Formats: sequence, structure tokens, C-alpha cells
Amino acid sequence: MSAEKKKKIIIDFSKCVGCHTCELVCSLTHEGIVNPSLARIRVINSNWTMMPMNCRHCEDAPCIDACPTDALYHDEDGAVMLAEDKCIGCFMCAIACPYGIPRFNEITGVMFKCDLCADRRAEGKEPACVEACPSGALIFEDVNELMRLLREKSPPEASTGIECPSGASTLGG
Amino acid sequence: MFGYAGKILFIDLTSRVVRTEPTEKYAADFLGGRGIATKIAYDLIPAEANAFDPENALIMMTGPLTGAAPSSSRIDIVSLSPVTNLLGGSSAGGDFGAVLKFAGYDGIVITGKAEKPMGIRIIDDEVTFHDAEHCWEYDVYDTVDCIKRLGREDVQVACIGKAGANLVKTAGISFSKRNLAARGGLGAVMGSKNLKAIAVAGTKGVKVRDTKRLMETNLEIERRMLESPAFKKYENWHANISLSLLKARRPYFGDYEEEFWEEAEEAAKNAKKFFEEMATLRPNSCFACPLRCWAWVEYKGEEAPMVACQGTFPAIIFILKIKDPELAWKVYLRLQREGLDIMGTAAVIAYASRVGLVRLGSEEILSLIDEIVNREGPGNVLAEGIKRASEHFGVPAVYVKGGMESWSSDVRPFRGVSLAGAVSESGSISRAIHGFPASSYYTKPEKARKVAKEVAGDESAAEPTSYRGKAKLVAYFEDEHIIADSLGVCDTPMLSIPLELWAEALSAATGMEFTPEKLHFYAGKIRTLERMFNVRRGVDREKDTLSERLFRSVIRSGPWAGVGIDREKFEEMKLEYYRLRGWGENGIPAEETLERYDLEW
Amino acid sequence: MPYLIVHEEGCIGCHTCEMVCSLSHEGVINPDLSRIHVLGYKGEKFPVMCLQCEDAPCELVCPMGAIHMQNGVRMVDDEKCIRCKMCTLVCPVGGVLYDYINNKMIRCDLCGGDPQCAKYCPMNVIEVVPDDAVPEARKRGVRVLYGEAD
Repeated sequence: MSAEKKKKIIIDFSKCVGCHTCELVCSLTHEGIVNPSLARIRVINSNWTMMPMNCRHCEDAPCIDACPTDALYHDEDGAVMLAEDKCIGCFMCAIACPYGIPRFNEITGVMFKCDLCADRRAEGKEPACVEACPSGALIFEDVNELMRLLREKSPPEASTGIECPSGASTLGG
Repeated sequence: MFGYAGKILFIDLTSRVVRTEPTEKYAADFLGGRGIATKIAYDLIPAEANAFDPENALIMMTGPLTGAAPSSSRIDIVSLSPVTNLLGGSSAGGDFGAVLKFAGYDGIVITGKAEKPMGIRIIDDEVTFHDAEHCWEYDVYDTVDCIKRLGREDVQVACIGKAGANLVKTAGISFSKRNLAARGGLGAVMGSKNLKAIAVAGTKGVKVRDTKRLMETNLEIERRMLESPAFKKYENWHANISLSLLKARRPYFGDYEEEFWEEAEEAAKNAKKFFEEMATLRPNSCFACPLRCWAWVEYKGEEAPMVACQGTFPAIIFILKIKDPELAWKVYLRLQREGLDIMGTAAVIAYASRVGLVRLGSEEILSLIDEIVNREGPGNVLAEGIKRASEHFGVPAVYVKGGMESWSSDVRPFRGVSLAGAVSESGSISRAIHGFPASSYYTKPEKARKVAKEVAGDESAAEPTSYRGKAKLVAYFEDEHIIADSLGVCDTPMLSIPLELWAEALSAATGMEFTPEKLHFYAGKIRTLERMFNVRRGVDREKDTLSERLFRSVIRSGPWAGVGIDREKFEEMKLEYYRLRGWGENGIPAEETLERYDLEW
Repeated sequence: MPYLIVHEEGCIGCHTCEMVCSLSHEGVINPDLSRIHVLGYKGEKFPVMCLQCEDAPCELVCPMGAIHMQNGVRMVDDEKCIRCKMCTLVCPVGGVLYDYINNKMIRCDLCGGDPQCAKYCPMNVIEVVPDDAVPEARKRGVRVLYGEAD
């Protein structure tokens, strides 16, 4: 059996500069307005160490276990999704989640959480926050895959200067 | 399926159709590696096809032990060789074979011809084609770097350099910059298919039948390797190999010159000094191998991997008569970067010196290599291989079966080597020669005699110039090599560890029970199938020979003064070899032999 | 429980440790599921596994408190673990991985006191030392990893 690639948003804590761009594009993508309090990702300031936190999309997600109406489920990409029509806004998921990710939307009356930008994924794009992050602190990749890449990553100075300007779809340059 | 990955990947470049077949279909009959590859070649390649036709197939196969036992990292490559237009084969170590298995494939079979230069990337079940037009003329190093830049730095890459792209017939297939499936011009076959590179990464892993038994056997094999005196020797092997080959009286000089090269010892000592004092060496190993027989050699900011055991560096200094190790290093770098077969190309250049195209031991060699790679001027003729060059220039050359350049050992005094060169299907002596007692007759005489006694029943068979018992030795060591290549084990450690242990590891990994006798039966079967492939292409006793010049050449000076090959005795050896193999007098497998091995034409 | 230390200068990059680790723990040969990995760093190769840190980031970050020291080995409580993989993200040496076959987090468990990687390493690069020795070699290994060594 091979590694099924389950891409998640991976955080490189050392790179975050705390600019909150991810929050802006998140609320813009999902709600159509710029409003960090409606963003699914939030930058936490812990003694000036800035940490963007979104849903970890756990494999054994406690929120899914806790939901009394089965509104939370794993989709085929491994993302933890929330079916708004089933959600009754009981807050059980928010209590079960160790990171406190699911939050309550006062307007719709149901919970909301990161869905790894389901609409964008369907188009083959990265989640909006990953695309917008100016410092490269957010990476959209399977965690094991990223570790594999890092193990063999050649440092920049070892580069031989071979250019591949025609892009990632060709070998040549 | 245990021990095997379970599938063989078939890629047709003309139609870009990718399909898989279960390995199970072949495994019980042909073991793996070289055995299965030969079977597929026999089934797929038509008898009238030429090496550069799209009908030719390039088959890369790993064995059941590849990636599962110590020193087992080999991948065997079989195709129609453009040098001989007969069955060609070569094997390579490194990580490619193991990673291919971890991606879920026991082997790759490539047929057809791509319209435009392309590369193939295999990541688990995902097989993608990539345009390689821009990097078509890159050398091996740049190609590997370029492919890694596709987004996966952990891929293992099999690729050709510019020489392979220009269909130079001494081009090999290079594996991730370091290991080379050198012999037989297989890189040119890849080039003729417009295939620049194959990259592979995998995460599936290989299941084994009996974990505990395999681990215990592996530990025992490893323990024996670490305890053998050879293990310590490997530490500074690069420095010592030239001198020890000279002591074993193995090298030949220039284009098989009759005179001994008086400065040989000085050149070997210079080489020793180069590795001990001038260059820095970083020992390294292939997948799961404790031996560290190769090293990254760094000198003046340039770096190249070098395998000691094959004697590539000694081949350069002796065949090209280079005393200056810095020049030898430059030649090595050039050949390695272009993915050229070092022994073959050195033999071609030495031949060029006979017809006055280059002065051996001088800088001119470097520009001649460039001319061969780019097929410019006389390089265009030399790139066709030594046999065709000799037909062009009208000056006789030295080659073995079908036009294959000779190996780094002198063929004339070593009867076993000359027999292997004539009867072996690929003409590649290195596919049979490791472990010959004659090779170590002057360095470890007692051991050589013991091996000769055990295998041929006659101590005198160890003497290089004796014709006695040589047929038996060649048949035996060919079998051992076939077993090694079919299981995916490296030749050198394979021969120093008892076959029982490898059989035990194989049984533990696959869950089928194997004994040394059973493995030798498989080897005989695979050897006969290889023969059938070539017989179908018109090979018989007459074609099992060496170039005419070798029979007329008599060494005039040095330790072998007065030695030549006696044609009658040579023919007798051949007949004895055919008898041992169960083939008729004409070298064609007899009906009862085919029946015994359950083979059909 | 003993520690493992790595003498990185002797490593020949043969990946035998990965082979035996996956073989002994999972019964398959798959370097991807090995708890020890040979890193390629500036052309040098050396193995790295969980270093059993004293002030372990993985333990600190775990929201479920599923990671704890048990007899000198840091273990993951599979019952408590929710596979959020935060431990993988914070580990500076890549010592914790997700086993996608058995759906659990895997890390070096020192093979219950008889580390197979050390047993099989042909160059004796991986050494088993008693836990009361906090060896200089290991500190050096970490410094090399971060490019601060001499």
C-alpha cells in the first residue's frame, strides 16, 4: 500500500512574520468581506512568536466524534468538512477540539471552520491563505511528503546553475 | 507476492501506452533480474530487429533480493546491443533498483520510440511523460540536477548523457550520477528511443514472507562480510587497486601492444599517491551494502564518484598509458560526466592511437573524447565502436565476441577470460569474470588453487595460461554471475559469501524454498535461454570467437613474454564448454537440454 | 533505557538502518515507514532518529497530552492521539512520522532496548550508550545538523 497523499496546510512557525494576510484572504474567499473575525485561520501572538493556526484536519478528529448530528466528516482529500445544513450550532466540536478551531457564526447561526478551500481545491488550486502568504510560512503538502523532500533537499549553494525556464512541466532548460 | 514488488511496468513510447503485468507470470520460471529480463527480451524482440529499431526493447529488472538483503541493490538491464547486434546486458548498483521496487515495480520494459526527446517520471502509481527537448544534450550530472528540479529532489534517476543521445556505441546508462550500466552500448539504445531519463521515487515498500528469518540471515551475511579481510582492504582500495592489478599481471597496455609498458609501475604509484595525498575521498555505498567500494573523489573543486572494484581508473592509466594522475583524473571526469563506458572508450581511443589519430598519454585524449561524444571528424567513425572503426581504417583491432571491446584484463594469457569473451552472449566479459582463480593467482596463490580444486577438481586450473579445467571454471562462474544478477545481489560480495546463505535469504523473503543446487539449475536455464536468443540471430560455434588479431599476437616482453593464444586448444576449450552446457558441437542447445529446462524455441 | 548516538562522519549512506527498521517494526521493507532516516545534507549523509529530547517540542505541543516519557523512551499513546501531526511539524530533526498504513504516529522506540539499526549498521555509526552518559558526540551531532560545527 502506498502513501495516499493527503495535502494539508503545514505551518513553518519560523517564517511567520505576523502580517495577518492569511486572515484577510480567508475571510474574503469564504465570506466575500475582509473581516478577520470570520477567518478560518487566525494568527496567534504568543509572546511575539506569531503562529498562524487553522484546522489540523486530524485523522482521528475529536470534533467528528463529538458532533451529535454527524455534520462533520472527512472528504476524499482527508479534509475535515462541516455540512452547514446539518449543524445545529451546539458548540460540541469547539469544546472537543484541542486547538479551539471551530467557531460560531452569529449571522448564519452555525459553526464554521477551515475546509482547505474546497472550491479552490476542486479547481486544482492551493488554499487561498497558502497562495497569499508573503513569507512562505504556509505550505500545502502532505506531511510525510514534505519530510521526504526535506531529507534530500540540496542546499542552495550546491546548485549548478542549470536553468529550467520552461517551467515544471518540462525537464529541459 | 513476497520478496517481489509484484508488477512489471510496460511503457510503449510510440503510443505512450502504460500497462503493468504481474511478475508472478515469470518469477517461478526465471527467478528475477537477468532471468526475467532475458525471458521478456526473448518474447518481445523479433529475431530480425536491429538495436536502434523501435521494435527493440530496453528491459530493466530488479531481483527478489534487491533492497531486501545486504549488498543487494542491483538492477539488470537487457536489450539488443548496438555494438554486437546480439543480446546485450549490463547491471548497475546504486539506489535506483531498490527505489523502483519501493515504487511497486520489479522492472520497467520500454518499447517503441518517442516522437520527440522525453523523460519519464514514476512516482508510485503515477507515470508521467515530460518533454526533454531542452536538456537532450546535457551531460549526466546536469540531467540529474534538472530532473530533480521538477519538484522531487528524492528521485533516483536513470539517464544518458550527450554520448547516448548521439548514439555513441560505448555509451552506458547512468544511475543518479554514480553507477553506470556501462557495457554493450545500452545508453545508445535509450538514445535511439528518444528517451533521456527515467526518474523514480516510491513509498510502497516490499513485503517479505518471514521477517525474523530474513533479518537473522541478513545479520549473518553482514557479519561475514565485515569479518572478511576484503572489508578492511576496501577502505583504501582506490589507492591500491592499480598496483594490485599490476601485481596480478592483469592489465594490457595501449591497443593490446606486444611490448610491456615499462613505466606501468610508476604510473600505478602515481595513482596511489593521487588518492592518498592529493584528492579527498568520501567513502559511500549502494543501498544496503556495507562494503563502501565506491567513493566521491574530490580534487581541485571537481567531484566524481568512483567505483574501485571495476578497475575503471586503472583502465585509464594502463590502456591510455597515462603517467600523470591529474590527466587521468581529467579523462575520468570527462568519461564519467558523459556516461561513457570507460573500458570500451579507452580501448577505442587506444585503437585510434594505432591509426595515428591521437598520442597516448597526452592531452590530445581529451579532445578526442569530445570528438567521439559530438561525433565530429574521426570521432564519428570511432563512435561506431572498435570493430566498425577497424573495418573503416583497415587496421585490425582487438575485440571479443561480435565486436565488443575487451575488458581491462589482458585476454591473451588468461585462457578463462578469452573463453568467456568468446562464448558469453553479450561479449561482456565482466558478466562472467569476477572470482576467477587466475585473476588472483599471483597475489593469493593458495586461495586461487583452492577455488580451482573445488570447482574444476584440478589445482592447475588456477594457472592463467593453462587450458585445463578452464571450460568448467567459466561455466561455474557464469552461473554464479547469473544467480547474482537474477537475485539482484552484487557479484563481489555474492562470491565471498556461501551460496547457502543467499538461498536462505531468498527463501525467507519469497516464501519459496531454494537451495544452491536449485539456483544453479535456474542459472543453467537462464544461460540456455540467452543462448537461444542469439542462436535465433545466427550465432553458432563459428561466431563464438575473438578478433583475428588476438590469435596472431604474441606478447614479446614483460612477465607474459612469449604468450599467445593457441587456436586449436582454444577450440577444444569451447567444445568442452558446450558439452558442459548441454549444447551440441555447433554451440546450439540440444533438444534434451531444452526439455530438461522446459524451454521452447 | 539506552540512548542512540550517531557518529555522522563514518556514515557511508547505505540505508541499511532504514531497511532493518521498517522490517523489524512493520514487517515490510519500506524506507518511507522507517523511524530512522538517512539525510542528505550538503553532500554528506548521516542517519537521524528521535533524539529523546529532555525538553521535547513534540511533548510540549501535543494538545491531547498523548506524548510522554516512559522508562526513558518517549511514547505516543495511540488512544489519546488524534493524528493532528503537530508533533511532526515541530520536531527539528523529523523524528516523528505518520504511518499511513496503520494510521498512527511512529517514532524511534529504541526497539525495547535492543536497537536493530545499531546492530546492523556496518560502519558502527549508530552507537548504543547508557542513558547516564550524555555524550559529547550527540551534542556535536546536533550542532552539525544546524551547521554550527567546526
